[in-house]
Amino acid sequence: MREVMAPFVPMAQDVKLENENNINCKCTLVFSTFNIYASWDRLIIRYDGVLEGLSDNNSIVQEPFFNLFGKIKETRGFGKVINCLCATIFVNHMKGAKKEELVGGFVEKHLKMDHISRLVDKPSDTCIVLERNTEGRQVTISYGPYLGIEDIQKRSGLPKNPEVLDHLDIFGEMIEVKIFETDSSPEFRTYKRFLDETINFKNLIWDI
Amino acid sequence: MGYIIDDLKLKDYSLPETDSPELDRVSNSEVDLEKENEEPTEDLIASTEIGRDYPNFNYMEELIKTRGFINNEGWEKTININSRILHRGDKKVICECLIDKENKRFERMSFPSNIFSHLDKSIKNPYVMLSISSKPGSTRIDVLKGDGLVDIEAFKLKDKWEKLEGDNFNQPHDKPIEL
Repeated sequence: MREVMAPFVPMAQDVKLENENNINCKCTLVFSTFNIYASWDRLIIRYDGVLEGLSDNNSIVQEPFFNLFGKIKETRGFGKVINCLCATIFVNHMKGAKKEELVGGFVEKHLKMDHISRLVDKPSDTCIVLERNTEGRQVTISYGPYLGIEDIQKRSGLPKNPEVLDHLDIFGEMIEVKIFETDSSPEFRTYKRFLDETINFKNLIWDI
Repeated sequence: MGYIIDDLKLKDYSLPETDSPELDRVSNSEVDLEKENEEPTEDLIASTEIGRDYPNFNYMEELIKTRGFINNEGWEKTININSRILHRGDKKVICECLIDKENKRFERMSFPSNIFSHLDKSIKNPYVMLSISSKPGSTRIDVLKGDGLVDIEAFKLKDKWEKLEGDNFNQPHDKPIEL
């Protein structure tokens, strides 16, 4: 793995190696706007910023992520690819939004207030989860009020972008989209398809 | 090695000459041309925190001193292009760039030669990875050695296709085709 990743190190700002010489060894390449994590059973790219442009030619997803993926597949002893997952979190900050009014407003818009108030009077948080399972594919969409940076921490940790921390007290709405497929040969075009679908879901939800 | 163009407002200081006239023209667009022949005033010297000793002023050295700031540049978009150097001149380098990896489309682009000066000149047509970052008002080009990074097979395939170019395929048959 080290020989494969070594040529990519000059592109990165930093390299971290955890649990070296161990089955749980994880190598992290740190770039300015994204990180790439490599372990024995997965390769992950984690990015925060504007999504438009990621499906363009030579974007960071194609180069270096899928380039590194291709080189890992060529290594001796590599087994096979089983599946791929694209998980995206959207946050829509709403200026002037108040935490107390957000949840009530969301319930009123999307759920039946009578039913909810019978169960929990004035809930402090709420979320809608939609899931669709078909053969070899699962799509999960969750959306609800965004009540602070804790909502992101619960899912995937703090974002890299320090400007996001400035929005700690600005509330709004949040969507999480996960698309999971069993695919033995994911490519950059697979990611482009996932991204188009994800952005489509976001546009549909926030047009409601 | 990287070359950074930023939207600093440059007055007419005695900047050292560079080998990159094109990029100089871009950065000089910010120069206040009306005051081109003015001597820097005391206020102007005092107002900037970098580079006061104008005859010995080294812009790049001063820029490196502020490296901490450069690390948090907040680039909005980054693209990484597989490239091969075709021609190296004194002022420009022409690269063949793989702009569409899936459809194997190439484009020739030229860049200032000084950003390639760290590469070994003895290697003919070396492969490089061009990392181009951008945000409103600024761009940065990093030239990385392509060993282990660049998809060399894509360039070899292109060379093979180019060798097939010729008139032979267009010549009419002068005898019947034998089945």
